[in-house]
Amino acid sequence: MIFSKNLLIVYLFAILLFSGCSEKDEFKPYLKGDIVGYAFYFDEFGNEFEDFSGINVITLPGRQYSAVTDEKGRYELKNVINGTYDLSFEKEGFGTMILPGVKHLGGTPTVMGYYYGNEAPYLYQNISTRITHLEIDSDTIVASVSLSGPYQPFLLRLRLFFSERENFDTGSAQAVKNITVFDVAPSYYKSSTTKPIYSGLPFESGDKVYYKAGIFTYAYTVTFYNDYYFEGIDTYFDYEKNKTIYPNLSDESEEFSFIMP
Amino acid sequence: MNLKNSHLLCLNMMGKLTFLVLLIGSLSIGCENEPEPLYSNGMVTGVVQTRELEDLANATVTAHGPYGSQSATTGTDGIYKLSNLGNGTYEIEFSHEGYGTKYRQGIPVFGNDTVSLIDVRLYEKADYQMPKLNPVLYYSSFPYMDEHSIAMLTDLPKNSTEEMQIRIFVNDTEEVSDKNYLHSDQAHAVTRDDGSQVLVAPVNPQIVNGGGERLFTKGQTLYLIAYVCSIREENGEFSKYYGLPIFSTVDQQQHSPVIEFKAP
Repeated sequence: MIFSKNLLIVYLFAILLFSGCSEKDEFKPYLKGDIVGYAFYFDEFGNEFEDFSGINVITLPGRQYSAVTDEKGRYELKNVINGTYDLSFEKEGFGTMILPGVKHLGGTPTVMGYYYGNEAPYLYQNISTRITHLEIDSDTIVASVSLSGPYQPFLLRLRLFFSERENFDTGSAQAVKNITVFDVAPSYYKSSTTKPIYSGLPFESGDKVYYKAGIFTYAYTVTFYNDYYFEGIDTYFDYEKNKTIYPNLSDESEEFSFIMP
Repeated sequence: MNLKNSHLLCLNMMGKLTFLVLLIGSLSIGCENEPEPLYSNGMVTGVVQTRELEDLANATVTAHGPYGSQSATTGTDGIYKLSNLGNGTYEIEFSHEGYGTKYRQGIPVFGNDTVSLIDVRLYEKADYQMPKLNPVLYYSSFPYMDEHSIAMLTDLPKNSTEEMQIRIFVNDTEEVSDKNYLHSDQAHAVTRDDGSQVLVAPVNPQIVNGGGERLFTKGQTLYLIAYVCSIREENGEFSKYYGLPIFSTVDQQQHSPVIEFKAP
């Protein structure tokens, strides 16, 4: 009886010994470590803020780990288990940026930083300027806008979407162009392109073309420190939706049209 | 088995079970605390040079990583090889007696990678003591100074000022150091007309960050720490970890106390 109980104990011991470590074998190497990096934010006209605190940095999928940036924009995700993560940078009132595929081996900190690798995201305040009217006149485009404050930027960057279909979705636009327009009067902007707006558009002469635009922000200033100069990233590629995401693009204007000359 | 002995057996069993539970507990803790690398043939290699780009022999290169630390020494060609590293992220420390220490953070080693670290230069350390710094004086005391400079009277001996190199770090909190600062510049030793020695440092309130914002406003309370360093015009090496240029020639052991002053 005692012999068989001893045998049972040895048996139990053996089972627990191996089951106790089986997880380690499966997840080997089971390393944790910090992820350290920087993120910055700008207003809707691309001007830098005085401090960069309050950006929530969250690992995806699962939102398991999170950190908040300090006034220098620095964040430290603590004790993150090794793996490949998407880092989501979120701040209320700002567009969300995602850095996909961050490889984290664990051990001493994985350092993202804003140096060489374009690993520091730039977040932009949601754009409150609204496009009230657009008009394409031969080789120029004019845009009337409604500004939310007294500050009038001397230029705006527009992302134009074109389609032959009325009420089209910008995701299915047949052509997209980025055009910079300059202020010529209060709340009134005009392009000064050397090429006509029409050039390169995939439409036949006489076609009615519908178009709309969003205001497209990027850093007018870049961060620098002493002699160091940095430029971050402000768009990302969404592998599930298979398209580039522009968190720095305003809501689109209403639709306008012209006849292709 | 009679009834009289059954409680003894029960105690015996409980003892064994307790032992078993403790043993398994300690084993499972052991499993969490001792990660094993999936691969262990990673290598970090490179060359360590001096400021003049001469190969530096006998420099110690240490890889601090998830499984502890491992060191190697550079040969006469300045080359080191840290081999048999397990996969993980490492911090590499470069040091040599008489030279500043340099760090490279966030070096990933995976699989059987060989990681080459380029452009690692160690600068010779200065061989003098940090002078005693007295409270900050302002430009009005010294007509030949720039209006945005501050000066500190020192106990520097006469004629010792030419080779004396001091780098200052300024922050708006008392937590100021060579790794936590808003502004850094080289301080210059100057002999005054009366023969006394001062250390002059530019602290320009007009210095702006990328957004055109001033770093300091006139009269703002600031904190300064000065370090002995060996190079007159070192731009520092930008550290992704600290988010600042780090000056490897500042001597960690030779620094002033934190000095409070008002921005000029």
